[in-house]
Amino acid sequence: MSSLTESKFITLKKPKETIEDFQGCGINSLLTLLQHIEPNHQISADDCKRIFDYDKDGISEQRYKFNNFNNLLKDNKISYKIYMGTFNSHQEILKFLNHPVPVYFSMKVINFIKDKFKYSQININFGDGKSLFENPNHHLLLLVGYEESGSKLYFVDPVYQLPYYSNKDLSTKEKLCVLDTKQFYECVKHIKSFMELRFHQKLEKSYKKEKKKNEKQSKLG
Amino acid sequence: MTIESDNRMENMMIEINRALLHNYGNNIVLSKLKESSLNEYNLELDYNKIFHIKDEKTKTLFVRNIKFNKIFGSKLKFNEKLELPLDEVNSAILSEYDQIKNNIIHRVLSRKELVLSLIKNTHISMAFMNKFYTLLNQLVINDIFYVHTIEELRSKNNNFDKYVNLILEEGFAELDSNNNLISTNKLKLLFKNKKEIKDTVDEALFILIKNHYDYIIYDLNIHTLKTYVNIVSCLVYLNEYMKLGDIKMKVQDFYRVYLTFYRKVDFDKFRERVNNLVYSNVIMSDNGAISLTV
Repeated sequence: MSSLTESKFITLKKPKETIEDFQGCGINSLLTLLQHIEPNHQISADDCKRIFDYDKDGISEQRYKFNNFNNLLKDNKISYKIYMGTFNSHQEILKFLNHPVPVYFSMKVINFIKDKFKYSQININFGDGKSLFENPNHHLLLLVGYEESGSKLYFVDPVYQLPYYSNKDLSTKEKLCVLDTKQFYECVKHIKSFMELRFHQKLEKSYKKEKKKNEKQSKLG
Repeated sequence: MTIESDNRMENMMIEINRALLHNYGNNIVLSKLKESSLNEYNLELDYNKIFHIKDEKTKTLFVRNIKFNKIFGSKLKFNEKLELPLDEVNSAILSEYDQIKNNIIHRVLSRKELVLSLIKNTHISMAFMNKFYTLLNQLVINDIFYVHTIEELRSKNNNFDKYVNLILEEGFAELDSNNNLISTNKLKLLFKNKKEIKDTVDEALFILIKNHYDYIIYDLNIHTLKTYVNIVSCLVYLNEYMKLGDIKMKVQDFYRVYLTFYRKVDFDKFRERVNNLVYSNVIMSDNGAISLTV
């Protein structure tokens, strides 16, 4: 693996739609990824809600849902696929930082970042926090940058920041959530998982080929 | 615990958490892992769903969770792949939800003022409830409901007997030798305590609904009552379980709470029902933000 630079940031663009509900953290993360790689995409929050059984309770096969999401990307000629990735050290996920990286945390992480959730339009109330932060529930944060060779990590919360931030806010470092590596490991140590966005050159080639063919045909027509 | 077994435990935790997250999503979580014998572990899983409710009055987003402890437990060997029996886990989750639903419906049914405003003001159920009113009014005023009137009403409505039977079963009346319905001491005592005819009939009706809710819904086919009780029960849930009694929320936000507990209903239909409850003063609406009135 190539050595890390001193710092790196990517500029996040707010997706066209976001879901203002905790259960929407996965979908908001995926919409943010799509916005980053394909700003003119036609995939809506409702498409994602349908695929991920947003309104349903209980549990179901997650891989099947991700397969369906990848099929949706294929239908929209987007040359990427999403996989569930794992890591051992934070350096491993920093190498993916050409786009935002959705990383899974325990809910405890909210304790470290909730001071950033201050808005004029809404107050966020987590109650006494006990039942929320002390349970082993998972939450996603979008890794958007790092400093000090990776010992200071910057994130955007897809549920408690993204819906309330402007593009300007998202590019203002002071507005982002910051974790040092100790805090980071404290909240990921029993999960160490992330959503991996993988580019598929083969797919891109075939989509380009198809596009050329269609253009040729329409000219002839 | 040795360092080796300590590491094994840590690895197991990571493997199980990943398996849960990657295969079954965010809401099922590992709550307990204990080594039971060499290379064998007991695990317990919780179901945990976090949701948001926005108070339009104070512009506050309340983050709360529904948690079901020990939704599934099993033994797992080190390096063994975790596979959950989806049907079994989902049925356990469903039964936890059913338990909450039963409790909150019970809470609604135990609140007399709420039940009476529901049935008095909801026009469809009112039509059905009129049969009870007719019977109980007569019994309180005249102490008797003559057999010829029963037969007359029976000829117009073939399930009128079921209403009579319920009143008999609750002990508000009994049959005399001529098959007239005569009021019992229980009803007379109620009247003595309440003093007013209207209050006595209301109290009797409340007792009938509280004690025979399922029968009234499923046998007398007054499903409309259930529809409205379900909606109100969600407000009671927010009030009593989540301690969010003072909030005023948008119907869309309330709809999401409703969907957590009950079968999916079209949003427009749901809004229409909420509006009916607003018109009947069970729910208060302030610029479209709703809260429980009673």
